[in-house]
Amino acid sequence: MFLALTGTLWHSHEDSGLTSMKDNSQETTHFGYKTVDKTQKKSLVAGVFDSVAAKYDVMNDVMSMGIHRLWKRQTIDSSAVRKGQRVLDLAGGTGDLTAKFSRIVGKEGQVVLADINDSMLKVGRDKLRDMGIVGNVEYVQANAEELPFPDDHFDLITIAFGLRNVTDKDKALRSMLRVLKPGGRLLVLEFSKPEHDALNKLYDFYSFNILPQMGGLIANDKESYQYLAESIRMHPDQDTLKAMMQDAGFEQVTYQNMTGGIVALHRGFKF
Amino acid sequence: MPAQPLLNACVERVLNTALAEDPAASARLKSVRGKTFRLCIPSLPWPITITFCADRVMLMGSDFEAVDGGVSAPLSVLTTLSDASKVTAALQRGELELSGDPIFAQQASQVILGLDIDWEEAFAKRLGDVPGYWLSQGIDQLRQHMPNLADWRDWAGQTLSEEKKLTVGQVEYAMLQDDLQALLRRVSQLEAGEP
Repeated sequence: MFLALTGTLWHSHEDSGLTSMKDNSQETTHFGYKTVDKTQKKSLVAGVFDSVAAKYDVMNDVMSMGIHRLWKRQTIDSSAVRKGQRVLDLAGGTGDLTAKFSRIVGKEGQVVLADINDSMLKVGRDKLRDMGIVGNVEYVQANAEELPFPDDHFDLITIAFGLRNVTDKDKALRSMLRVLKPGGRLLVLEFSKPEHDALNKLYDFYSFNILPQMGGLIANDKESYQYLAESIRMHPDQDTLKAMMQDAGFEQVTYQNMTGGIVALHRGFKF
Repeated sequence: MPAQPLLNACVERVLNTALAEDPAASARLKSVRGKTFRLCIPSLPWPITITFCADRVMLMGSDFEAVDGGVSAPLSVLTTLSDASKVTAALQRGELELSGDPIFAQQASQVILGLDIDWEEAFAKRLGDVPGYWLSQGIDQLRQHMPNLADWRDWAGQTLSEEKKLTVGQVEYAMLQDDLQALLRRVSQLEAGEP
């Protein structure tokens, strides 16, 4: 979830403070704070997720002190999902949201768990099967920028902790709009910018000093969690993402800050 | 983080543990599967929203919009609703509001109210046969010494409603704090010998 991917990691948005990077965005991209060749990106990202997939859920609980479960609860609450509906859980990782949506939509509905990373998808599939969640869940390895689904197909799309890793976020948002039914909604749960300076400083200290150490101790992978902290800082803030969703064609876009803005839930509709 | 999702998660876990111990629960859940019921009690800070799944329930937040039916009434009225004849009277008095299919409301309430748990079996699974037997016997004896359940519910409902009326509101609390601050300032001035 925290490291869920739907593509490579470069994002080229002027208002996210990356204007200087835009000119050479054809050849290079971001990997956390590093600038790397686009051709290198896929293997770097695959390396991160192959490394963390096995300890992904444990690390999420430890890193967030379990609060990620409450953020996801709020996402479900904002979904208005009903029995029989079709849901796309994009960058669904190990399937936390899929599990809940699957129970709500029932056997008449369908949930598609999509992730670009094969390792994460396998962990998610095994976990959900072990939970007895079968029958109405499909697993698709897909890039968020080019979703392999028909137009007007889903009642709800969620992307939790995945959008920041997408190479071209605008393209991904347009792709989501295309596959969303009229009247459907998109929910974007993502790390964002804390509202207060004091919290921001505390959060920075935690992210860059404690988080990588925990990653080293628990998952034996300090670098991946260093990347996590850096990628969060490179992600657009609440209002920028809201504007991006509006530009992509979503209407009635709103967001809700959680845990002081550490995480924000954006909601937009297609009419 | 608001308290609501945390509390919902705790209550959901308790309810699902109880439902898992009741062999007849899945049959009751079948009739309401995929539907969402909302219970609004004015004395609670937020409504209780339950989505029924095949083998469990999910407690949703107050933001959840896809609600199929619900009941709104004070706790003192809700405790009387197990008697079907009192439902009509409560509706006529305007004390009870029903939305959606009344049969769904009845089925939804039965999922929880109809819980029939073999406590001895449940405790035995977790604690062992002998402690489980002793504990379930103790609960049975406690029940026999307790007043009639319906009377107790009535008493609890009325007491909670009355206590809620007496509870200090936020504005009153803020006024009390202001008065106390003013009093402390005045005492400090007097101690300092100021007029």
